[in-house]
Amino acid sequence: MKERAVLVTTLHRGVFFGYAKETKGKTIKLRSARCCIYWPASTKGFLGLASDGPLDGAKVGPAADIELRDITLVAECTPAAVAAWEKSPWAR
Amino acid sequence: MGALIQETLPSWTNGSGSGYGSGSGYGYGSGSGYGYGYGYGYGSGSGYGSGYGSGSGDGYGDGSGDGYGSGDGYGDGSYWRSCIKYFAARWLPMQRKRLAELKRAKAKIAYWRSDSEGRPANGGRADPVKPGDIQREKGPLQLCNKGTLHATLLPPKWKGERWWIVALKGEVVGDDDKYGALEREIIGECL
Repeated sequence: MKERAVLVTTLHRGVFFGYAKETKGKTIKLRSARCCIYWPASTKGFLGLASDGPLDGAKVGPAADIELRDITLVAECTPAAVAAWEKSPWAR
Repeated sequence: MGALIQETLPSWTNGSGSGYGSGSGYGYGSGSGYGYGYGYGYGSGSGYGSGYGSGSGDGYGDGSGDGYGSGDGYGDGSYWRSCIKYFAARWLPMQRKRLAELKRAKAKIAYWRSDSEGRPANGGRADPVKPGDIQREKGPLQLCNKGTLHATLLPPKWKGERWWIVALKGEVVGDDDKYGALEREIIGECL
């Protein structure tokens, strides 16, 4: 199964970016997952993180391989968003 | 944005952005009125509104909000637990060795946030910390208690300019949100 770049939200205030092969189940394994701690209003809602990625002022955690539970939404990310996520430094 | 693969918006995405409300009342005599407001939209954060009225009997209010505010999230404990090795990779070898020792000793490895000087940022007083410091309290061991040292696996929930990886030793109480113990060792900073 082809790996895709996705934005995943959880019931526990988690907003994650990462790469997943399987996205239909109750749990999702994300490779190189990054948590968005804060996104500015210019993102125009959290789905802007899937369309444009983190913008200036966003705070993003470091990358880790994780398994997420209590999934509420999975959205495919655009190439522009992927590039923005990948170049965002870890920020408190 | 690409296609939505699953979509059940979490409740915390409602009410993001900004909401406001107002209320007013009028009339004679005494009484009370009320109003309300609300915000809604996508993205986390919070929207709210409130209103009140006074006067005889009735007051009203309304509110509105939008979904384009800023937002924040905490992630979850498993994510931040997984990030510890990312931060440890930037430490000195002796710090990584100490982390491994503390893990073997079953210490609770978690995060603690301080102010810019390394002092507590979420209540309490203490000297500035540095890697290798060991802090002790006399108890009682009780979360949010003055005599207890704390740590978390949800660091974005707490205040503090600097993030540290710490080990809680001995009896540990609490959950990913907040742990408490009577001994805390500062292992290294999250840089």
